[in-house]
Amino acid sequence: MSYRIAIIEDDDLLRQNYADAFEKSGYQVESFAGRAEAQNIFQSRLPDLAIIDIGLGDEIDGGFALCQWLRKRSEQLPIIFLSARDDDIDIVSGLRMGADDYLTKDVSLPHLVARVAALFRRIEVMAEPEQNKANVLVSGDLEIDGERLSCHWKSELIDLTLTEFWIVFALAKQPGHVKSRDQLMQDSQLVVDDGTITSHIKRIRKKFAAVDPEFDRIDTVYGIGYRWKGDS
Amino acid sequence: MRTRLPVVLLLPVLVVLLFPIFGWLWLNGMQQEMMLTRESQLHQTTASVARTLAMNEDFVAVISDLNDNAAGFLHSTETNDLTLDGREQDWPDQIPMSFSLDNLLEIYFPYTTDSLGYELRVGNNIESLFLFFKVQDDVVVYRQLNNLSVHRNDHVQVAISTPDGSYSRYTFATIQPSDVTAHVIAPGGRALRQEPRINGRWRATDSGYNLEVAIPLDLVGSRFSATVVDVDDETTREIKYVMGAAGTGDPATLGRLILSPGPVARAVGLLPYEMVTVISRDDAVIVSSGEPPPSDQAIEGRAPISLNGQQFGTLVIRDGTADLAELVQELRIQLIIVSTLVLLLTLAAVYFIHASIRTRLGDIQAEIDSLADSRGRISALSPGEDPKDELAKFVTELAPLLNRVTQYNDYLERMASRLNHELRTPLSVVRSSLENLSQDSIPPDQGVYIERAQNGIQRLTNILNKIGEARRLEDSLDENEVVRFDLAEVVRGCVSGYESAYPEKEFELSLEVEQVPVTGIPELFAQLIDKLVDNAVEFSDGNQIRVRLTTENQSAILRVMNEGTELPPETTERLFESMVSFRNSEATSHLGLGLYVAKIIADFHGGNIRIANREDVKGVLVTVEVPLLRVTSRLR
Repeated sequence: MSYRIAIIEDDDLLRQNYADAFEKSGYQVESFAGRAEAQNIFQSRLPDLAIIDIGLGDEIDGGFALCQWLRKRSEQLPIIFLSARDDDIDIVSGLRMGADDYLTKDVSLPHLVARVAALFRRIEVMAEPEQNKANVLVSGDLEIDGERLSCHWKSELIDLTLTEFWIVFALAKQPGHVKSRDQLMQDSQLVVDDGTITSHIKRIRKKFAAVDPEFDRIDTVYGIGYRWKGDS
Repeated sequence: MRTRLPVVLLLPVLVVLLFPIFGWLWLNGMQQEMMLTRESQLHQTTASVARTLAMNEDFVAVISDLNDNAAGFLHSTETNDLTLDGREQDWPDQIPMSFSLDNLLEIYFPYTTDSLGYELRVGNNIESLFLFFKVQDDVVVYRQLNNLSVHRNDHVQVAISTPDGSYSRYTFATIQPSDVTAHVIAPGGRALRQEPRINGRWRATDSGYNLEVAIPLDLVGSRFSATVVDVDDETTREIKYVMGAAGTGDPATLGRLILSPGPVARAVGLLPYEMVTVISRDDAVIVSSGEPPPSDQAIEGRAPISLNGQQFGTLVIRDGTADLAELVQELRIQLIIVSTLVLLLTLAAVYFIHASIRTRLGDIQAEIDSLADSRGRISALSPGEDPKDELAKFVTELAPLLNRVTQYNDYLERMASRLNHELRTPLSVVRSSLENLSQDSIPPDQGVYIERAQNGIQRLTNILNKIGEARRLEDSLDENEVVRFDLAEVVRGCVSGYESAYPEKEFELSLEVEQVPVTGIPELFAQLIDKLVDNAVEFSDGNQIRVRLTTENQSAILRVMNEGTELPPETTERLFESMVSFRNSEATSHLGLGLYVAKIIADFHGGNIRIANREDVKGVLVTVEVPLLRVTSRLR
């Protein structure tokens, strides 16, 4: 059974392009131009994953409303915001509403498809009994599961978005090794400017600090990038 | 601040200066006007005084009596009660009348100057008429004791009219210098008797004799003549000369005597004018009182004294106008004083107004200056209190304008963001279309075009990201994230990063101090250095890029130097403005946002940024100066 992806995007051409790409990758695609028609269908049947644009036609924040509406119906449904807006405030609001990831429209189709695949992979792994720990990285207090895309610090779950997860994963894989912003962008499959990486790091630190106020493992190496401080 | 009165504010002062000028001219006009008025008043007064005089019977009696004879006038001087001692020292100081050759009435011997001459003084008080003869005579012949005749010797003869109009003649002669009594002389010339009421004193002198007599006024009318008769030969006793103003023998030829103060003089002496003169019909001065006023200020009134169509004389009143000139002078002085005061007050007022306007303008300037922050953003105008004056109103009226500018500014800012946003969707359409296409099998010779298109898309995306960068940067200027950090460490890290990022360039880092503590956001500062080095690399012709960090006067100074194209002159400040670039648009896209971003970050750190051409070699030097660790920083 192939996964069913819902694409809610008000630009017809773009929506069609996304739909084509996902169909080519073997997914079923339902595409909607607006919130109302999407909700109409979702009322009877939820998709397996939703890709939502924030501005939907006349509704400037229609995507946010749709996300909240979907979250109320399903805690697990993977939701990705895909928007032209790249303000921090939009990203923060989108993620706060429970989206799994927030991407700007700069993202390339292969990257987008890879993210979707990763999210489905996580669902599959979660469904399996917890035995396969092949792709689990443990470094001191950090435990990071490459299959389930989950991250624990001192045994507490850190709720990271997919992008954030990949950044942490890239850093933690090689403790003490400085990762430049470019490398992090590649690893997290982002096309963004330096400032965006900085704000991702900022958000990641906050999430860790929420669990452990003493958290100081992500080091800034000014002018170069970031590194994960291993246990000394 | 230098205080200078604008010329415009001096205008009121000039206007005030006009007042004394006008006042001066007005005073001159007024003086002339008053002179004319005075003169016409004087004419009227003269005419009315003349009429009054003409109606005064005594005056008319005297003046008509005086008028009917051609002989001269004799003015009597007012005196005290004189002692009849033949000495003249108790007489008032006046020039006596002199008689000599010209006054010889009868000559019986050839005349020499030595033989006879005399001076006559005439004076009166309210009781008596006084006469003083100072006779110069070479030989004095006295009357013989046994001789009846009084005329065959040196003697003095006086003829006067009496108040009742009759005529008396008296002779004064003596046998030796002593008291004398007048002899009444009959019309025939014979001495009739002595007149005991008329006495005198004969006194011998070195040059002749003095005779001083007193005649009671009730014997004195308005006519008078006196002669001195000279006899020099003791034996023959012949008369040699008779000398006087007029003869004494004929009542008709007597001269006129004007007693002092007399009815005429009394009448004119009472008039409050400087000089009053009565002139006879034949233009002789009958009476005159006072002194003539200075001629340049004198005004004159003239009126005939006439009764029943008959003119007796002319009244002339001369008056000075010194009091008028004095008054005008006083007014001028007052005018000058008042004008000076007003001028000073006006100056003070103008200065005060100027100063207060200046202060107000300064306040307004400061207020307006504070409206725009260092990045040229306009903050809303603080809603002022009720406008106190026009200036405050002006500022208040600026508010809508500023609001419009603010709105426009906002619009421009949103515009960049909207453009950024709006372009992204169609850009994504192109990109995703290309990506969909590239997944399909296409002829390899076509693939290169897809690659080029994708390359173009990437460049467009980079441009959009750069446009958004400045805006996102401003959003991230969060004071709450300010920490203390070591700038040296950041610079060191950055430079080692650039060494790998730009392997073809040689970076020369010089850190003079081990630690450079500052406060701020290290990531942002790294971004600033990125921008500067990015620029330096792009503009660089040579290989070497120098980065220096020093401390000076509580400031950390970062210098980034490259070799290469110099900046066009007078552009250095503008380079920090958004979207300003002087780069030849060759290779990569350049929006001129780099230095703008750098300036925002430098400003946020309380510092400044300057760009200039290098002095040592051809190239550009960018200097960033930020304060060292602030003691009162908002460190958390």
